[in-house]
Order: sequence, then C-alpha cells, then structure tokens
Amino acid sequence: MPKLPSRIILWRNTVQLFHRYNALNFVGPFLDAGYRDYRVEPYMEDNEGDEKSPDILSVDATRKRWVELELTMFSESKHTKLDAYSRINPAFLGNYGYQGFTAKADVLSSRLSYLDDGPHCQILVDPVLKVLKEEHLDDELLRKKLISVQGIDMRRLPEIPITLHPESKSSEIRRGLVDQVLQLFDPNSKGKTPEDFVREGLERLYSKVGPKKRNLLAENVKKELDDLVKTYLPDNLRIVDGTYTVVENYKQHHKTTESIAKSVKKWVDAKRLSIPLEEFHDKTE
Amino acid sequence: MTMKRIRTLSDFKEKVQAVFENDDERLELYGVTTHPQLKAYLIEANCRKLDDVPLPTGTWKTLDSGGWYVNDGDSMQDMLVLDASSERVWKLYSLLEIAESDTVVIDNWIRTRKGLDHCWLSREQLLHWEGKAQWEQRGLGLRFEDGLYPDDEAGKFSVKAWHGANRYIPELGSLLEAAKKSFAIHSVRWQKRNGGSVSFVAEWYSNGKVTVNRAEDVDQVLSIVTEMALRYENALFHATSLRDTKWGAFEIGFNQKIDLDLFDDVVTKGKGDMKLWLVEVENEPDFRRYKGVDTHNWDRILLDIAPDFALLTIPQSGCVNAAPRIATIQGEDNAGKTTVLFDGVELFA
Repeated sequence: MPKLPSRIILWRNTVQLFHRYNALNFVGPFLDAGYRDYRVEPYMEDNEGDEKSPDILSVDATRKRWVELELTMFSESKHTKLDAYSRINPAFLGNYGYQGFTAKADVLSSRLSYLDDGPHCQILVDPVLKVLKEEHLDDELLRKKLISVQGIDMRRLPEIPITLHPESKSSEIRRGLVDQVLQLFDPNSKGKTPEDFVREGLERLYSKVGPKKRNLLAENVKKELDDLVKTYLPDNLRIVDGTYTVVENYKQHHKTTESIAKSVKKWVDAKRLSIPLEEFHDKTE
Repeated sequence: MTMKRIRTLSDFKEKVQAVFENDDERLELYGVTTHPQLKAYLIEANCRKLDDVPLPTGTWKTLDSGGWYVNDGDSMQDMLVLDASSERVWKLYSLLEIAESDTVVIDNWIRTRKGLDHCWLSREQLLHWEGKAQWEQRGLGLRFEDGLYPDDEAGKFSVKAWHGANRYIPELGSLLEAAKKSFAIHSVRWQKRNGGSVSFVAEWYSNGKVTVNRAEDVDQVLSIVTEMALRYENALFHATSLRDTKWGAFEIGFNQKIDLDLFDDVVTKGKGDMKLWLVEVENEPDFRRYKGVDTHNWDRILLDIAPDFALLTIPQSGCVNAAPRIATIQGEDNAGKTTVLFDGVELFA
C-alpha cells in the first residue's frame, strides 16, 4: 500500500517525541531530557515586538531550558524563520507561567525528508528518527537523548487527536473523517455540516487556523463527503440543506454496521490507492 | 398505618440503618417487609444535569440535602437514592432485589442514557484497601470470557473464591495468585474490623457496583463508598487534564494476546461488550490502526492495536472514561489482566 507524505504523520511523529510508550519500548527523547510541558503555536514576540509562534514550544522547568520546533514540509529552506525563532525573548515564557528563563532557545526543524534549514538541528521523523546537525544544540542532555534513539522506528507511534490539517489533501481528508462519519449514525445525531467536520477534525488547531483556510478546507471536505454519499453510502446517508445525515428509514443492525464500515473503508482506500502525483509535492508552508 | 416516605437524607439513613440491624419494626414503617441488601453503584456522569438522564420510570425527587434525590412515582419508589452532589461520579444506593436492581439501574438507566456510564474499577482500585490497617481481603473473583472466539472454541476461565477467617485449603492461595497475574479481577470481597469485631463486609465489582453483605453503621458505609468514588473521580480529572493538555495516547497493556482478525470482525460490526464500532485505516500482520466511535456515548476514538497492547487517542471532548472501560471490558472479555498508562505512569490506580 503506497504511503503518503502526510502532515498528520509529521505532527504525530514529532509530538510523540514528547511522550513515552512502554509497549513500543519507546521513550521520547524530549520527554527523557526533561521537556515535559509543550504548547502548540504559542504567542511569543522577539525583541522588536514582532509576533513569532513556533509550531511547538517546550520547556524543561527544572533546568530552565526551552526548545522551539518548526514542523514543515515546505519545499524551500526554513533557515530565515528558524533564525527568527532563536531571537524570541525568553521573558515571554512568563506569560505561560515559566519564570527565570534567560538562555535562548534551542531551535529545531522537523521534516519527513531532508531539505537544508540552515545552521540548526534538524530531525527527520519517518519512517525512522534521524538527527542531523545536532552540534547546533546548546542542550547537551537533549543532544545525547536524541542521538541515543536515532534510528528508532516511528511507524507505530499512536495517532494524535487532530485528524485534519489545513493543508490536508483528499486522501488525508478521507482518512481524517472516518470517525466523524460513523458519528452520523448516532441515533441522537442531528447531522453535520462540512464546517462541523472541519471544526472537529482540526480539534485544538481550529482556533489557530484562519477563516480563509478553514473555508477552503471545508470545501475540500464537502467534495470528499459528496462522493461518499453518492458512490459509497447512497442507501444510508443523505444531504439535507448542506447537512450530512442518515436516511430517514435507517435502522441499526450488525449487518448494516458491518456493511457501512466496509463501504467507508473502500471510500478511504480508493484515494489511497490512486494518489495523484501532485500530492507528493507540497509547496505550501 | 401511613407508610413513612423518604423525604430527607436522615430518613434514608434511618431506613438503611434498619436494614443493617434487621429492624423489622422500623423497616415496616417504610413499607419494607423483606430483608433487602444495600447495593451502591458508582456512576460516571458526563451530562450537564440530572434532567438530561431521566429514569425509565418514575422521577427523581429532591431530598433536603443538596445533590441528593430519591426515586418517586412508580412501584419502586423510595428504593433508590442518588447522591449526585459530585461533579463527575455519582453514587446510587439501591435497596431493590439484586436482579431488579441490576436491570433497573444497569440495563434500563445507565446503558440507555447518553452521558452515563459505570465507573470501571481497575485492579489497583479494587485492591485499594490491601495492606491497610483493619482491612482484610476475603476473596477474589477472576473472569476471562475469551469473547472474541465463538463459544465452543473459547478458552474461558472464571473463578470466585470467598473465604472466612480460616483458609482450609492453603494450596488454593498460590493457584489464585497465579490466576490473578494472568486474568482480570472481576470482584473482590473486603471486610473491615472495628475493635475485635467485623463492622463491614462488602463485595466490590469491576463495574463500580458494591454489595454490602454486612454493616453496622450507615455513615461508615456511605464514607467507604464515597472514598472509592473520590478516588475514581480524581483519576478521571487527571485523565481529562492529560487529554486536554497533551497530545499523547492512553496505553492499555494486555496480559493475554488477542487475535487481531477476530478483534476486527467484532469491531467492524460494532457488536460485543466493548461497544466499539471501528473502521480499519492501516493494516500490518501484527498491528492495526482504527478510527471510529465508542457506541456507548458515540464519542470519537482512535485505536491502534497489537496483540498485546492498544493505544487509545480521545479527540476533542471525548469522555476519558473510555480508557478504563475498554481496559476493564477488554480485560474480562479477551485480554486478561490489563493496565492503563500515560507516559509510562499507571492511571486509574
């Protein structure tokens, strides 16, 4: 089965570096080094008062160390952005309850495949962890922990709560909507609009994504759902005034639920098995 | 003679105390002519208000103490008292006969009302009083349904071993210890001594039910039930905070390996005690990824599963009670002894 370059996989495998899973014999190197708390796109400023919001900011409150990560699939270098992150004033950490930080942050980029992001540590997170240019890290303990797990298999790390990304392509959208589609069959469900699907799929990223990007994503979600209703579940789902809902005479039965699950799987697999070439090339930031 | 109705918390306590003391005269005042047994159910409440989860028959009538209610308006009136004074874990006290109580409470109320669930007690919670002064364990119930297999192919196991002050067959101890390491604990019988005598004997079940076999003091019993409820509620708050502030998954370890093809067959249909309806989105021989819903409350769940573990991600405001529920039901059904971890630290312990 071909595997997609996926922003969700990039986020999943990077975020899980801050967690530990005994069953996978996996200890995330950031957690292991003491970075127990992390925030996604926090509002920070540099000394000039310019807003800077790294994708992930994490602190080791004991050692007063902090790191900023840029997660990217951009086809050009993030050198300039990462340089700017290294100028963020640590005093702004006080807004998140972290006092006494004076040292500048270690700045890293995380990607699925290599592209030079300048004089910063870079990690590649799929299918195994690779650490590059680690000499740029000031935090020696983090450097050691990252090197010690280099090569570890990242493919079985668990899913993260966000199932859609603003730049999700059709194959990723279908996969990201599966659980929400099944929710339509809740006897108490009033159905969902594409906007509902987007809000739930973006989850905690929702408030960080602008309305223009959300609307575009909702349009793409609608296209995929329309195909689901028309081609895969015409006897079970319908669209009423832009809301996706179950047909009036729907009755839950094990045979029906099995058939619905299989149709939803076919709908997901259909895009996964015919990936347009352009999906491999991501020009968006 | 006019039957005395339960209108205050004090009335309820008086009635229960009469049950403990087998005080027929006082029981008759409340219209009780049998010797009922007190049962309590810990209920996970994920709804805004009590009106959102009405009883199948009758209504809840307020008592004089805040958050306390008694059932009213049907043939079972005054036999159920609800302490809904806590935010997430309610305590329901029942003096109905066990079969009726389980049917009314479990089948007709908790299972059919979105927003209500059992409190699924972990092994650590069931063994909470182990080693504590005055407390003695008086037996265990272990259960393994092997429920992914058809009945005649399932390697089922169950044992319920109660004992009194003397253990007449000491060899049973090592057997039970061995079984305890492999299988899920379904129930534990505990007793408490006050001075030289036994003041409390009760059996705790993994679905948050407790049956009180013997007790001397109603206030002591309510305190013991509250102690477990608070422990569970704190675990829920902790798990909710992890869900909201972290992006990691709950890790559920299995002692018995499960057959992933059989698991797939059950969850694709959305059948079985697990109440999971899932669609597979990734498949390797020893690892699957699923997305779907927990049909208990129709919250979304993402479940990555291998023969000996599952990684559970709960998006949005999904109820974290799914973690102990899946661990407990999966454990008794097909995975044996289970544990719930987050970042390697045991939760619901």
